[in-house]
Amino acid sequence: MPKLLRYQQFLAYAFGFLAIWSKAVQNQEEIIDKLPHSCCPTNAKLYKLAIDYAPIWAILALGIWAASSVVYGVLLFRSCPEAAMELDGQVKEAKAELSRRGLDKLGK
Amino acid sequence: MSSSKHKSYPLSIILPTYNERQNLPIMIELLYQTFSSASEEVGGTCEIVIVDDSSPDGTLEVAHALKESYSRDDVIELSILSREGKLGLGSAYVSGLKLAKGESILIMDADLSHHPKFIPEFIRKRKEEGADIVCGSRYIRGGGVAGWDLKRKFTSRGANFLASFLLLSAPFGYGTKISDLTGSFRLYDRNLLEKILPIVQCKGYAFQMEILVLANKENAKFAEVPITFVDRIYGESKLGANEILMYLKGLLNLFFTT
Repeated sequence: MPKLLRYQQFLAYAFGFLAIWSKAVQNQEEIIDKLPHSCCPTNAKLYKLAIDYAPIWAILALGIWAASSVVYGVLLFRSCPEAAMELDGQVKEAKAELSRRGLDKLGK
Repeated sequence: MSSSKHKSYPLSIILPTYNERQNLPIMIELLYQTFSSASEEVGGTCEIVIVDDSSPDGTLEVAHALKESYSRDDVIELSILSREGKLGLGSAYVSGLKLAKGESILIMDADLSHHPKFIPEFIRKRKEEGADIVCGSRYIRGGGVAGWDLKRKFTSRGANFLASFLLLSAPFGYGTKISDLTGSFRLYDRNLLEKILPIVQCKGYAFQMEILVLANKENAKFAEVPITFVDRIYGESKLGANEILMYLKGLLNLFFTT
């Protein structure tokens, strides 16, 4: 079987999730009964909310994960001004060497 | 036995230039310094293929003068290709590759944002890990950028995350850990590059991404080396709305076609 294209892979996962979800919504009473502390009506309501809107929660979770990853990445992103300074020094040295080779007219 | 020197070319650097009259001489001098002290690492002469797209500022003339001066010993050897007009980065690589004799091909920017001092580490990584592509990464430990504000960092990280998630994220069958998808400081296996370059369609930042995605499909082995990127283009906006749109277009194109 040939490898799926990226968007097909995403669609496959999406359909898989939706299939499971629709089954879960159909059988939500059974499922909620089996969950811990569902005899308490507040908990039962929360469980129902979780199941009914599962795709929304999934998208939200994905969004939060994405945002945190980027923020984390930016926090770890090193600024290295010393590299710029080192380069400036080396540019001066290089220009001197180019001059020595008789190539100093080139930059003009 | 003939007395002709047997030169080996383990490495070719392809340097596309457009209006780099100021930077090119310094680039060549820095490359010369790097390879003077790394001759063991390289194991031969380093070929530098300059591909100039008819720069109006006379870069070509500068390149020829440099070639004359720096070809007096076997540390580096300059080859020059002049093209009729501004024909784009991708085709510059393709044309340069035709001229190049090296077994490994290094791609880097000619404006001094990439420092030649990292090149021996690229070569070492390729040898030690048998990698087909060694990517310079600004994000991993030891890497970094000089001259970027917070906004630019966010754009860079955001773009990379998006591309990584859409194109390379692990649960979907590809397991590649590449942190810097849009970087253009890389060492390639020559055969791999010859195979991939003619197929690449994206322009701009997405071009660098597409090469990785196509290489991944060929089951290429990747490695990374931390690099520092020095952004010297002050005031000039390298990242306009146009670039961003082109990037997103390229990204979506890859998402739907690979």
